[in-house]
Amino acid sequence: MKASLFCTSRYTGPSPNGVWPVASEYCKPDISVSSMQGTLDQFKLADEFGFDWVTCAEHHYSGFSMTPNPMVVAGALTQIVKRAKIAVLGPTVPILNPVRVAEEFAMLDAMTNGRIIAGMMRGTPNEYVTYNYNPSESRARFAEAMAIIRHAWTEPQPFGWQGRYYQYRAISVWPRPIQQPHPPLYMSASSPEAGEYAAKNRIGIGFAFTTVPMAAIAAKHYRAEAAKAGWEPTPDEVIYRVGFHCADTDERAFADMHEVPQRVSQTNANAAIAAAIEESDYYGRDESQRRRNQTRDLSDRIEQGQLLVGSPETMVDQIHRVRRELGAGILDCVVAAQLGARTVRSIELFGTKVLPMIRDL
Amino acid sequence: MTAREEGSGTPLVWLGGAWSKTRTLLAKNHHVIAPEGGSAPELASFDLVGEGAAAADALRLALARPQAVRGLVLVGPMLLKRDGSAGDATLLARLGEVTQPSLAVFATNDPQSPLEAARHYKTRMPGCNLVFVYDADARMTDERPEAVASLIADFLERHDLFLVRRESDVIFP
Repeated sequence: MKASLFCTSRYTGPSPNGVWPVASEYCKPDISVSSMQGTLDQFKLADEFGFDWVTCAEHHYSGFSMTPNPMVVAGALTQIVKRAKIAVLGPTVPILNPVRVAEEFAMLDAMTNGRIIAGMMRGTPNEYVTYNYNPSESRARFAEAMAIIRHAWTEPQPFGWQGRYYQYRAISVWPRPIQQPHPPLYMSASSPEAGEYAAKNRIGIGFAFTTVPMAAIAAKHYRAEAAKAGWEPTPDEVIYRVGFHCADTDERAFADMHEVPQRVSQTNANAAIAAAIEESDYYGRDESQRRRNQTRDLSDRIEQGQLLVGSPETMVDQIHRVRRELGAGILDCVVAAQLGARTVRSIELFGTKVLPMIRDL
Repeated sequence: MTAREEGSGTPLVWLGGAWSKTRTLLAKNHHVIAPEGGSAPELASFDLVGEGAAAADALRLALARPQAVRGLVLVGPMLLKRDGSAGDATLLARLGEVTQPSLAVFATNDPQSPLEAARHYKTRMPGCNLVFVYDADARMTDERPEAVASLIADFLERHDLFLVRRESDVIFP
């Protein structure tokens, strides 16, 4: 089994929880600088402690994640992370210029000599507000953008594109990707439609902000669809994103986590936006999907596989379950707490104690 | 020779394929002529479209009458294979002599005119523009007529200048 370290570049100072967008007046320059630097330090540690990948992602308008452009983070990481692969999981494709996405990934692939992992995300629903796109069209935009990106990476001659949502008269990406035909692709597969699309297009899948039981159902559907399409995904083609905090003892780890306020999901943080998105048929169709985003207590989240918390030995038991029930080959471990030296220790323990024990799973 | 003709304006001769919504849309600003049997009318000057297997006929016509054919559009052309070879070696050898501004249009889901072949038109025909029509197959002229017609109209009006967008992006004046 492999592991990635995902730092969300969280703002470490005080800012409101349960609202979105969060007013930028709460963002203090000196804390932004230290938060960003702390994130880069954590990524550097992950590389040194043996994590296989490091992960960054796109989120907007709050201190939960100060990486509205994960490509910028990844650019910085090309100079810091010397060994691990850099996984951008990912850009929110439907709200971006897909040619630009293709160009930036190809640049990063060249800058790392082929150590880039390309996650292509449809985005959490609130993100459509960011650049003013209709969420009900996001799936169609995503599919078309993905087609453009793949052609942009692989077509050797300049070509134009006459699409539904995108129109270009000339596309010819420089540099070309180092990895041929292109960097490994992943996408979220929480919905049946997404799993079917990923299987049909031979794209790896990832699960985030869900539960192991729900992800297991979706992964089973993905594998069944892949079989129909004539191929069999390997464990490395299934990523499970999970919060983690590791300490020398279970008691210490749990005590640390109780210091961390639980965050309301960004989509649920703004009732008006959540209602509008529901009306758009994007997100409200699945009651269980909405419920999973409700704030729950720590033990429940651990039970559901949303968090790994404990000593290295305890954490290995929790990871066994992820592997057994979900078949995931890559854990995308989110730094669940910004606790200074204790967070650093958590990364160190995971890299030096947990990782060696899960390698052969 | 009988032909189906619609519209008025610049003559646009369309070889191959069946009458489609794309042609009806183009007829708003063109005199669209679809000759029976694929033989072109004796016009002094016209734009030319070759669709599917008839793209080869259009290429031969463009080579034979370089002064008459102003702009050349190939829709889902089937002359070249994925490896760049062609059944008609003579025509293949002459593609570099096509002097008209040209546009080759490919549907993203058409195995008879695969995207892998598109690049070979570009490399063999100087100045050839490639455009992929998303989410369509060999029936693209009826599946996505607005997309195909607007592309062809823009190209035939402006030739290589069609690379430059001219629609305004102003949302509210």
